[in-house]
Amino acid sequence: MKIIQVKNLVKKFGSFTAVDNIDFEVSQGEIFGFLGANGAGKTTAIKMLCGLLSPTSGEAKIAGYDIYKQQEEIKHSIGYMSQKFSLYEDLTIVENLKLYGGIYKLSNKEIKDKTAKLVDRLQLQNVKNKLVKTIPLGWKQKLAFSTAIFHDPKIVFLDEPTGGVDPITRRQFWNLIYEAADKGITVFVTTHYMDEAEYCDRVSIMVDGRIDALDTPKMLKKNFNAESMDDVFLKLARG
Amino acid sequence: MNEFIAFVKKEFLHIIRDKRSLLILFAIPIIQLLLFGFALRNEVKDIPIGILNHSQDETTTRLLHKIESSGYFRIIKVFSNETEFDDEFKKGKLKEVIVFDKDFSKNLRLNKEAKVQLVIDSSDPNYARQVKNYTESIFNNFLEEYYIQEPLFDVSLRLFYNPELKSVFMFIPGLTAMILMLLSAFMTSISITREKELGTMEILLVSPLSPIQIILGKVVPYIVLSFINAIVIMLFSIFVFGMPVSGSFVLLIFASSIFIASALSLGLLFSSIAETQQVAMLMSLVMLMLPTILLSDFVFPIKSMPLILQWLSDIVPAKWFVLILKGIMLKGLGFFDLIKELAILSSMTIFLLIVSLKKFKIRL
Amino acid sequence: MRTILFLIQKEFKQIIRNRALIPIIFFMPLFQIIVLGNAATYDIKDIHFTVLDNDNSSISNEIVYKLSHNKYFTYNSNVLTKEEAISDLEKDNADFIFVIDKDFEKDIKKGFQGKIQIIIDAVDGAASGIIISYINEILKDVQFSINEEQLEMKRDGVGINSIERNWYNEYLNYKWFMVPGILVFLVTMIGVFVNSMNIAREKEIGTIDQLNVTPITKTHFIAGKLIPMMIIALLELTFGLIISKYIFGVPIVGSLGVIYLFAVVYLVIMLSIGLIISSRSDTQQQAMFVAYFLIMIFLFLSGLFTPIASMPNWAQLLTKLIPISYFIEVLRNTMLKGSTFFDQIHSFLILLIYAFLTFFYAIWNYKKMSD
Repeated sequence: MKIIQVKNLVKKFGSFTAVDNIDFEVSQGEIFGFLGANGAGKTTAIKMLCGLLSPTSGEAKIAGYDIYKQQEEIKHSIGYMSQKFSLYEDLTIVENLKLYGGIYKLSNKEIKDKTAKLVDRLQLQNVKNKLVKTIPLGWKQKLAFSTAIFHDPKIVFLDEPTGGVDPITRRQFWNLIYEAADKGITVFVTTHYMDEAEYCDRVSIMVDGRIDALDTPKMLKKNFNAESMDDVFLKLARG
Repeated sequence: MNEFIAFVKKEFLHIIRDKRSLLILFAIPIIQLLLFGFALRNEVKDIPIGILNHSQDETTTRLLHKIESSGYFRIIKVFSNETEFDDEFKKGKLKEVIVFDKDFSKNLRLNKEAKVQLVIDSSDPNYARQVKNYTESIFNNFLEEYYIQEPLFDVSLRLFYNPELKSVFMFIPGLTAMILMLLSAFMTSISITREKELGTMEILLVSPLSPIQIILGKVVPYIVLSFINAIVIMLFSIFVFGMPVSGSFVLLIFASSIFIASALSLGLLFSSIAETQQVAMLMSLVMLMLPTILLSDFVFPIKSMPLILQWLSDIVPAKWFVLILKGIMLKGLGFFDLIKELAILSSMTIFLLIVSLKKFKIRL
Repeated sequence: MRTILFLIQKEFKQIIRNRALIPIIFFMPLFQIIVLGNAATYDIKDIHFTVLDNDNSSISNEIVYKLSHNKYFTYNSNVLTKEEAISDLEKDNADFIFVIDKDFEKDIKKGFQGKIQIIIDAVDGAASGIIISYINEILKDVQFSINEEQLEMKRDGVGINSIERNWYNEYLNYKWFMVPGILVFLVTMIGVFVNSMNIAREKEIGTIDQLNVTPITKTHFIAGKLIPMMIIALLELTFGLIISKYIFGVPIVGSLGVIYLFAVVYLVIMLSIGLIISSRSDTQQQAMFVAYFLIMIFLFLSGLFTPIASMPNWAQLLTKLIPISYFIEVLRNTMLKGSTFFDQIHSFLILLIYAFLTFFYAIWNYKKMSD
């Protein structure tokens, strides 16, 4: 069973169609890249899959649960990191983790253990009791991601998670994604950085609300006769 | 200059595009004015009272009949003894009990002192006093009919400025001041903190606009909005509530402009000090609302307050504005009559503007 | 259930860490109660008057004397022209002018009425009424004393002597009336306002999505936001009551338990309303305006400044919809009169119904998924 199944998903805002009949499937453990230019409809799509936005029409199943009728079951099984990596800036790192751990019904012991492990992994010992607003952007990103998978969800949705940081930090971030995928977490990530596409197992490219291409990076480059994913995208956009 | 105009245009567009806020901004003053202008009254009517009549006879019956037909009172309970009073008062519905002495009628006939007790729920002392006055005035009327007792004095009463003793005349100026002050201050209070919170302030600061231009640019649209509000409020006051404008309408507009400016400056000041919108708005609300209502001669007469508060009221801009409004509208005073008040209001405004400008520069 | 505890912890930490917020929602209101509790009074004091005595006779002098030596009035001066007198009125130096006609005493001695004119600055209608009644008392007094002594005329009857007994609030202390009301208003205002910006703020910053994506139930979400403010509001109420009692001497005749019981139900209503406003607003600015609008209506229709009994009937009906008027009345009745729970059970049931309605509406209205 595919862990994400989307069929004819549509979202209209008044007369404007943001997501125009998209169709795709994601397998468990995949790192699935959801690419597209700004305004192509990626965030709208991901919000629908997370239950943040109601679809106009179409079907979708997340971890086997229907997005119309089984909202809450879906929410137990997913994690989410938004573009703004919305952690609470006026809480400390540890407090943020505690909050979300509690909401996802982890026991106090579990929360304590996992927090310790995370702090260790990300080397946040010196800042773990500092307010999030005081730590640098790169660390915030990694923290936001770790918070999103704190409760070991089946799938994690990442919406433009690497905006605004240098390439080295981005690379480190992707290491975290690989670690998650190794643990069996399916990663659904949107981005407009075409080079990150190379890191994904499969990639879809959205243009004006539609999916115009969907395949492995290797195949896409072959089919579009391109050297890099950037090229693929440019060729697609020029259409 | 061109940048400035472009900036002001942008600010205007921001406001106009937030249709909901715009609607609220214009609807609020009108609704408040109408609602409170019609609802707030000081006059007393339909007072629920009880009677304990130890002297049941024709005289007291006539007096009671007079009380009931006056329209001021409603007899809701007849008591048989005093122990029942407390329970009824506690329920909160009874306001007064009139207790007639056993020998009331007898004494009245014999030209002695006829005793009656007015037991009044005085938890609201002002209301209590009015209840007492109304009761006694009915007694006096009754006496005049009973005795055809002619008073020695022919007292003619002339009520200046408010011949019908309309409480609304006293409230409208205060209401106007309050509505204008709070709304204007609110509007500007978030204007600067919003940009700070959203992070667009830095963009503004590196632009060729000077700090003064930024502040002015943010305030100009609100000046226009507040001005429109002020005119609408004035029109409603005059045509719906019948407020007279005994003095000059131009002076009225002029004074209102100064007052609006002071309100906007206050909002700006809060905006410069606060870090977040929430704090800015709370500051405006908490620090302005009650003082403006209580210390501006709106509901409570300043004269009756302890001296310290009277001094405090001197720094409340609304107090001066209310004085000016009452002076122009009800007393027909002119520019020179009110020059002291106008000067004070103007100085306050200029002071606030300068301080908020300074704070803004420092806070950058 | 445990989830709510986590949420409460989070909200509290955020409030406490907001350094500017604590003084504003805590100290400012309490400070205001202390200061403004002294402001609220309808006692008419310091009434100035100017006299224009065209007669200057013994009777006129006696009247002026009695007026001047009265505890309510302050004598300005005796002027010579009407223009001067009216100018005093205009400049706000006098609240009324007392004019005695030229042949005042002569007329009285001849058996006619002596002519007096009282010109009152009637802008404050209620105050004018009170001034008139004070003047009448004095004139009545003069009339009776003149009767016996100066005129050697027999006058009939003494008339009705009404004795005033003040039930509750023996000393007509207006503060006892106002302070509980101001307290309730301030606590309400803070509660509604802070809550009304809460959810809108998370929307503006973006943290709301992070919460909406979790399996958190709407009930837990709303409860988690309501309880922290409830605790703060109750704390404020407590401090306010302490201030009322020890600084203003307002008695607490009734039971504190009753007060707090009503307070909790009442706060559920108001805080839920704040959250409803917040859910429906896109920005903090919108939320603020709506909250401000509602708070003003609550304030003025609550009977705090003008008696509900004096309002037109439609307005009185409206006040029945306003929770704050119930609670202020309950607070006053319980504190000043010692009213029990059962005396006020009617109000309790109404507030309880409102509480259910608003709380469940707040939950129902909140949508984790937007359209």
